[in-house]
Amino acid sequence: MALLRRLREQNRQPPMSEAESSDGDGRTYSRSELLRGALLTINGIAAGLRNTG
Amino acid sequence: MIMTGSDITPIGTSETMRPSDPPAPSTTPRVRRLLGERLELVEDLWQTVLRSECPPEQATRLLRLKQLGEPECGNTASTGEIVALIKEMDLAEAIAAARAFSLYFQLVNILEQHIEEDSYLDSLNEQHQGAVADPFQPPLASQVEPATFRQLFKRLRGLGVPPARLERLLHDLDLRLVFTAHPTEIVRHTVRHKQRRVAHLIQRLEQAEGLSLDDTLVIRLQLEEEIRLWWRTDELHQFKPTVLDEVDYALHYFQQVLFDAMPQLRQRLRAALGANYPDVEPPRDAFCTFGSWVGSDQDGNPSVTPEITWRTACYQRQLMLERYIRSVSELRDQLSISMQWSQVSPALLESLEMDRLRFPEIYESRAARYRLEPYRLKLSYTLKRLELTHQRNQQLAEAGWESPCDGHAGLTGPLDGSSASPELHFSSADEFRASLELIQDSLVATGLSCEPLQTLISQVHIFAFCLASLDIRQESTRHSDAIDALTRFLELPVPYADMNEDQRIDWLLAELQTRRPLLPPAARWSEVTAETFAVFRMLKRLQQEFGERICRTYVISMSHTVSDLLEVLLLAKEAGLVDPQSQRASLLVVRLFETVEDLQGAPAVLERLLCEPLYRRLLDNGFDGSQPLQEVMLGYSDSNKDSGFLSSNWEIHKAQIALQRLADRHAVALRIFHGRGGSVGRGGGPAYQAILAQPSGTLCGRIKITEQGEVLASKYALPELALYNLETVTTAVLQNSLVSTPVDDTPSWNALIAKLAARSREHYRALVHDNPELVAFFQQVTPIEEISKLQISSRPARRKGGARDLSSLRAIPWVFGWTQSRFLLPSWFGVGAALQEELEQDSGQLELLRLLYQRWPFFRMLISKVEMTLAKVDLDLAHHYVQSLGRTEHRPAFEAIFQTIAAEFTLTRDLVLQITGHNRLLDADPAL
Repeated sequence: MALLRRLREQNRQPPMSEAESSDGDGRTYSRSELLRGALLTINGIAAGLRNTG
Repeated sequence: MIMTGSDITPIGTSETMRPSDPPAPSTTPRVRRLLGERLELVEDLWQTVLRSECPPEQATRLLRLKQLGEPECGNTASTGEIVALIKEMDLAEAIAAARAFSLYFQLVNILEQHIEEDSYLDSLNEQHQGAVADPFQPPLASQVEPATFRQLFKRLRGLGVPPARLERLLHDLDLRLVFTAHPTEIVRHTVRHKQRRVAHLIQRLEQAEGLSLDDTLVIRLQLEEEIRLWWRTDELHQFKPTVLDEVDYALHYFQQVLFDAMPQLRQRLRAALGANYPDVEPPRDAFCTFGSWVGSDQDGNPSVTPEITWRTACYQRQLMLERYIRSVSELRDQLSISMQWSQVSPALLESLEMDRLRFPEIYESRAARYRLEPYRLKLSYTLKRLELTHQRNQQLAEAGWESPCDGHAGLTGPLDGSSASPELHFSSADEFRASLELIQDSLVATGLSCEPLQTLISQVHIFAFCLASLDIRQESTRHSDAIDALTRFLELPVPYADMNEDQRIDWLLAELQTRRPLLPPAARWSEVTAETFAVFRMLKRLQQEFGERICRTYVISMSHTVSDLLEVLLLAKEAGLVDPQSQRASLLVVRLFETVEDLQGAPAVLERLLCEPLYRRLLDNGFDGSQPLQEVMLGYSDSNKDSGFLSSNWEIHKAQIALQRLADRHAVALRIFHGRGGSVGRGGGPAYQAILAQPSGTLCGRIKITEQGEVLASKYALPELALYNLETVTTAVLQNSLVSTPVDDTPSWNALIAKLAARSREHYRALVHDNPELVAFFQQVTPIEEISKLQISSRPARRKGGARDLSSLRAIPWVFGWTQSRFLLPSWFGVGAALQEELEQDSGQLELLRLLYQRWPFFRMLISKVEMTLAKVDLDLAHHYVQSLGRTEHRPAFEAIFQTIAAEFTLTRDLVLQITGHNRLLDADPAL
């Protein structure tokens, strides 16, 4: 959820903010890193639940 | 029909109704012990890999997380520690955690599959040991535990089912499983391969009794190595799969499991039948066959072109031919019978003479070696013909479907580069099978048998050369648009789009009966229209080259009227798939009824069609020479998305009964094609119970079901698991067809469910369709937007037009989104409110609902599915999604929606528990 939130916040920023920090703890992540993290989590939940659609 | 149940008189049975639930799943103590041992092993290996692959502090935190997540730690303090640990993580560690737990649960899932396999094998062994039947087992109509062939036939014999009756049903038995794998398989093919390797190694460890300690250690190290490789493999798809990639994924299950499993299924059925009904003729080998939409489902997927379907068909045939070539080659090694020591049938000797004339070069090269070994000589000729067929198939794949269709022109030179004529290849699987049967007849006549030969003949019966029949699916507007373009080109006084429904029907019927072609050959069309016409020409070409079995079903989606079906017939006629002279069609056009309105209107649409003399003659002339057959597809996904779980299921149930009555009235056989998804929100759930819950009298031994996405791996990844699934689907169809429960026709019960379904639909639609904030809620609190970036399917997530509302969103991502955020709303929402309203009006109805749960397979299936889904809902986690992902300006509205969902959840759970009599969800299923 935190990954999704950060990713969506980044997506609302202008495109130039690819490497911009979006986290309150001072860590910076790129949009692609965050997307990758979110997708891996979605993938893990679906694979573990053996349930997608 | 045999009727059972306490309110009816069973024929020849002393079974009594037991008030409690059916027996718990049959996991034996041995299986439970094995499960414990394997869990320990897998956990140990998982920890070992994490410790060696992650930085020490990270590994410690991950293992601590795992420990805190275990049920015995489930308290507020541990939840707080979990949250604190996760908050400390940076992105890399968070990703490591997601991957670590994904790996863990996939390993556990592999164990679960093994346990299912073991339980199945144990049950088979118990039957062989003549275990005593439970004298208190519930009547067949109420039995929801999957039965094996032996269990079912034994019970049927006990019930006094006449052999002739069973034999008739077995004769008509026709199960069709249609793979529609692509839209819901999230696990990479590469990772699936790793799962299979791990599963295989675990299986080898289980056979450790015959292994030395060193061997055991080696396997354990291999397991660790495999899990380590898995850990270092990216789980995400690296690219958007092409349709042909998806074809490859789906066909994998045939190559690895189903080719071998299907003949075994046949053997198990025959053995069980022989033990209980020795005089009953077994069903034909191809009582269970396969279809596929992968590579032929064009609905909403522009990547599926006629060329792709053609190449898919060629690829399927290539796989089959390669398989047959290997088998025949092995048979040639095995059948070394010499004429010095054995007789040979005159028919075989005669065929060898014919072969000598057709293949002089084979005779020259093999005669000296196999002069006294006629079977080997015959198999050499057979092998050559298979190789020529394979060569031809390759040339066809490369030449494409538009290559000249006289069968030879366009294929450059002789097929094998020699002087052999192209006619020497097998033009059909029947020819190949005839060659094999000639050998088998000769063996039998001389007192010999050969199991591999019998297996191969069975495979040819089941898979032929095509492996699986390809069903085409296309949206109805594509056909009406193409016909409209045609009528405008022809400058008809009224273009097709301007005709009303009656005018359309009259015009289409008139055109269907004329021999004059309608399509001008030189006309120019838009790309889309040209492709719509091309599909039918490609189909004709496919049938000419591969036989009708490769593709004989055309499914129309988003179809609402009679003209929708006639349009397809007209386009088929233009391509030569409908012959106006003989009034015979080689294509079965199937309407997909997928919304509640469509389901309600289905009988009227079909009635109108069956009353049309031309349509009726097309059915009567049957494309495969059998009785008139009408196939109808019922869609679970869209009706569920449209109206909710209860309403969707009830409408489908009602439609089946109405359609069956209609078919009976018109003396037409009906085959229902169930378009089920993998999850409950799209019609999924245990197949056995779902089949038993079908209305009495609607199966008659015939069923066609989709097998989608993630269910393929869970059902067909392991041989015994595949056999278990296939066996129990078969027994469920037999059981439903033989054992009637008249409760489907009980008016008061039907009235009650109709009332509940209508109320449930109102509640569901009030939230999903009428609440203006719901779309934003779904988009924000579920990962729906991110899901579309997963690259799991070649098909777009939305229907054409790309509107951002729910109507254009496909049912798969709809269910996927709700599942990820643990609401699982499509599978249960609206059920509780409907039940509550009923009980508020008359609290005495609770007893009736309990009775229905006990005695009506349909209602029991509904409540069981709701119970199973509710057990997976996690409202705390779901609320966390709302709070974390809902934008500030939406928070009050989202909180209100969440409270509505939470209240409905509590209500549904409490009422389901009251109906089932369980103390907790899934109490009746301790294995879960």
